[in-house]
Amino acid sequence: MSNFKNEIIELNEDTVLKLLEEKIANNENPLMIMEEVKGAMKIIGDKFENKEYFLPDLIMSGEILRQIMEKVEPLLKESKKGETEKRGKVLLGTVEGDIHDIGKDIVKFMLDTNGFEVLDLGVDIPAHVFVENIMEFKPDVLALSGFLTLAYDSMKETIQKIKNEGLRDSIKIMIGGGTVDENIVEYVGADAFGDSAVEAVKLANKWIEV
Amino acid sequence: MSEKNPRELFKERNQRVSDSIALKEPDRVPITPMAHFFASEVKGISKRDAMYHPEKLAQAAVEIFSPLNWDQVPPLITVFSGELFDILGMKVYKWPGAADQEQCLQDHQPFQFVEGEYMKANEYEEVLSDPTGFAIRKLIPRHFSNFKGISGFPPFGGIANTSTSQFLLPLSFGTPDGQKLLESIQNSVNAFFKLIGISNKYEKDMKKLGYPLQFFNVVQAPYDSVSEFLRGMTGAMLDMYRRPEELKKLLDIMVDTSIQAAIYLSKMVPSNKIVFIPLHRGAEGFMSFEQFETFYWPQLTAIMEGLIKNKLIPMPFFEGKYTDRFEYLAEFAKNHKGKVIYWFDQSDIIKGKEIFGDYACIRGNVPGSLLITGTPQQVENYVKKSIEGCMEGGGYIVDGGVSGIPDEAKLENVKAMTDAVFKYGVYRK
Repeated sequence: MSNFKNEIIELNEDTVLKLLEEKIANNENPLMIMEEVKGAMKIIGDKFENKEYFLPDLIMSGEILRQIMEKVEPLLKESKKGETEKRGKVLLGTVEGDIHDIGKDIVKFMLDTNGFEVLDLGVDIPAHVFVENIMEFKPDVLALSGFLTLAYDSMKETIQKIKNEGLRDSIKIMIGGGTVDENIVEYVGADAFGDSAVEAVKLANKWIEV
Repeated sequence: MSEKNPRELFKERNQRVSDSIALKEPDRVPITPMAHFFASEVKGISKRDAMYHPEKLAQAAVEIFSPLNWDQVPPLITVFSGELFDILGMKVYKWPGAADQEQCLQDHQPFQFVEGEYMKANEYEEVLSDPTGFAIRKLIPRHFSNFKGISGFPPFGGIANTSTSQFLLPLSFGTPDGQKLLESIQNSVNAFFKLIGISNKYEKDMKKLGYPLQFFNVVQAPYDSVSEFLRGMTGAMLDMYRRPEELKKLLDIMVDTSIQAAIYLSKMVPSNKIVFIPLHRGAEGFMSFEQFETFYWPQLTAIMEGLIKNKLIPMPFFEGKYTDRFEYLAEFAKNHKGKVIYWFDQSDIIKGKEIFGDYACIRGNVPGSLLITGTPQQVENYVKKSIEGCMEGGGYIVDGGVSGIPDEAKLENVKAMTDAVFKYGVYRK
């Protein structure tokens, strides 16, 4: 494994940025740099899944990634074709009435690093906005997030509206968030719930491969 | 039961809870559910109304809770005051009916915390060298927009010199922001004592009916305070990597001041010793054991020890899951037998009973999801299973998980939860 990739995995911010400067100064192919970064992020995701890494580590890796992208993205502009194909589309948002975003953002990060195309609508999203975006974005998976117990009914209403619009069969729906558990899946009419961001990735993988 | 007068019932209920904390078998497992908007929701009072008219919330609480025969009833102050928030210019929460449009939610939404970086990464030195000065000049104005004027408060050197401070003090409050500050302070004093008056009346009304209140006092784990009210979750986690020593110093400073604040608040209601400690970001999944051991648990337990030394009863609420951290709890419980209430949310309390049941009073944990969407039978089954797994030898109190009884719970489920305690939780007739 390259030193650069290894330092990203070990979350050594300063060393990573120094090595990156050297790579750019040496005119290394930005696509090759991104390959290493992607590989490193995949391993970080695995470590999170294996409970070697936790939120602080994930957030630190996100911060390192952000700084790398700041430097590499301008160099990538000409060679956009190099983008790898995405595994599938996930529409994501916190349901109406609830403004919490921590869990949702972690799910987004994990889906991103696992190769999914994610459209994050934000927080406090009314049912009709989800419906409009299903029509436009055509996701494979809808991921509804909520921390408050009032989110149960918002999730239920959202899914009901999706049914009413005849869109329910076109997507798989997962729910998650602090107070969401297996008791809620049937109540709201979702397909599954995820206990963590790792679970969200597993569900998306399972559904999209089928 | 019915032949006992409220005074006797009050004493008996308090005893039941005290016995459970002290790990003695009472006559019955106590039930002491917490709640926020549950009572007002049942009565059809909007969340906005409940926040702006605490007397309506109090009335609903008396009406809904008193027929249930609980051993302690929820305090009123778990629902924040919309009036006080408006006067402060509260920026850390959004709530229904806020005068500041930026903070305003709809009438049916509960107040919700606003994640933010209220202290910047490069301000550690300033905080560590002068926490009070930082709080006055930077933090309070960021948390409370109507208290901006306090940022002009002169520094110590200026105050120390009377020949200048005689002018400096009036000068610093003579600005438009300073004038607004003075007005806001006076208004906040009025609003606060009005609120306390309503809360005291609620306490008296409940006492007349034979019901003690659960708690009045709240502190937080230092890491949660830093994460929520200073650096934000992202900031506080990045600091573990970028500024671990500074972060630890700040957490250490907060231990003693948190204990002092709790002692100060306990003097307001000396008869109630329980100190609620809602825990957020130390849970399973949030941080590693190593991070937990470094940034979370030592400072939290130092606070709990300080409270115990001052004859207060810490009641940490372990929101989320802590099952994988049970060994830490067991070690602390062993050294502080019968002095703490451990309130659980999604942790496995029956496993907890096996591991530290000889030392620790367990409280919880009927899932909110069950109280909202389940059937009375499902609720009864859950409470029965919990009581059977946890009641032996005392040291078990029934409550919900997160927030106790959720706002949207079905009343029939709450009744089923209560009835199950009277049905299955009897030690002796």
